[in-house]
Amino acid sequence: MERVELPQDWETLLAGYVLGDLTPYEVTKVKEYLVNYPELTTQVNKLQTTLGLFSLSLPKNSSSQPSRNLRSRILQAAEAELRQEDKQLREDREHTTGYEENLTENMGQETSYPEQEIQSFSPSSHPWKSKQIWFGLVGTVAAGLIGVLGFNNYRLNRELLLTKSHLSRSQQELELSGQKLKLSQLKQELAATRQDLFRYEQALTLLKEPNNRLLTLKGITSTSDYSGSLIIAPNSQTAVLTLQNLSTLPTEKVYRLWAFVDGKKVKCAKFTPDSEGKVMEQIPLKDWGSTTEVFVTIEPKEGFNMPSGEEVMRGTRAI
Amino acid sequence: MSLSNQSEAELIQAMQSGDLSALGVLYDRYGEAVYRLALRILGNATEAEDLTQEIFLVFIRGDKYDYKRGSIIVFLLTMTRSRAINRLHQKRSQEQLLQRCQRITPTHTQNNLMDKISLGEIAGIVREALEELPTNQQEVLKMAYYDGLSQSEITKKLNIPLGTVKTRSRQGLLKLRKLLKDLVD
Repeated sequence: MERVELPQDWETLLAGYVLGDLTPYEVTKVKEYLVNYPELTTQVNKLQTTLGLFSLSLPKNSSSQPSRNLRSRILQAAEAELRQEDKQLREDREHTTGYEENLTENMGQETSYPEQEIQSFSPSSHPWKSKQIWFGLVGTVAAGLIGVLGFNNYRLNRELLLTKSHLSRSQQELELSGQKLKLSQLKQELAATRQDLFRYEQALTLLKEPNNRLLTLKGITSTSDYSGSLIIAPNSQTAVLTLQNLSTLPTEKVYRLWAFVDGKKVKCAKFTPDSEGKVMEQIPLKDWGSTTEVFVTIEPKEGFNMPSGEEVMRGTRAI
Repeated sequence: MSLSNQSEAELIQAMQSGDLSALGVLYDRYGEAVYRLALRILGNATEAEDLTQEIFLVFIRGDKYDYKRGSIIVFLLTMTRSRAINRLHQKRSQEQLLQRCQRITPTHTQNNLMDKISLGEIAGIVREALEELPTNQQEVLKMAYYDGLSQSEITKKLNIPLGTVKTRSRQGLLKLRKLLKDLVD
């Protein structure tokens, strides 16, 4: 078949094609040329790139800047999507492979964990792995705090892997002794570790935001070794409270964080430490985001709007 | 190497592995340019921010972009323009124009210079190049690009023949493409 001849004004036609101003007949002809002369596709692409760059000529001025919190909004939305995808992936996998059920149903067969899931939680390949760069930090103290959280994240990842490993080993144990109860406990442990990991990841994302402020907290008495930090992330209207070495309280008591705002004491959040005396809480900012001084008291579980119990920690703005 | 110094390909790989810091770096590089274009077309800060968010979320889903086939900024701006014009036309309920605008698809030209110089430098080159175009060519290109106007609509607005509008916009684009040779070749 004879090759279609290229008209002299082919460049103009391609420009019209990219600009979208050709007649239907001209569009058909251009498509014909593109089939017969594949090298013209490169020309079309270059014209499209030119048009793509066109808007960079727009003047840069203060009114053409997005609001400062757009960045964190996008990151949060992206994170939510990733979480959703991850959840969906896990649900799909559980439904399609049913690998945990297989442990009990196919005990005689060799069972391996889905490689992808292990990789997605491993410290070396996790999306929020600890080696990522923490830009937008509030200073070295915060960097230290992030280091601790990063380590916790890493530790939780390890725990998750270990739990999975235990779960795998339990298959053999099940074969021997039929300890279904133990398998169920391990599943619960796995779920709890995943939940912890998720909380740490959320906090780590928040800590990377610009404009964050840091308050360091210490125990009131010289004998107390309570310590910790409060990071205020105004862009997300959230704060992250991390404390360590706290004493365990009776069941009817809780710790409560308060902030000084314009000379008034404002209730922020109540919390209880874990078995190791550690606390990691994300707290909505509400009306106390501008505070430069906070303190912690021990209060009844159903407390009041004003502090009534013993003050155990106090924190001031470090950065 | 810190993420902020990484090439586009490395950032995409980091992002595709779920590293949100990489998305942050990409936003720091290109977010303002995307927003500025969205604002220019939509004329409303809230809608422009909304579209900017949409663009980056579409981008992170990663099913429409292949870094081996073109630079990120061209992809982002092309998608921003296309979606902004779509929104504009949805408002105007002009289905015909909508279809016309959708024909402009993201480009697939691999270019090394784009990866080597900053967005500010690229913008400087584009601004200078546009300045070299005759004012009447700039005018029709801007009307078509930012306002999504068809050639016949431009004809009515400027009260000049359709052939003149076509010639000006096509010649304008061809000249711009030659002036931006170092970026697009």
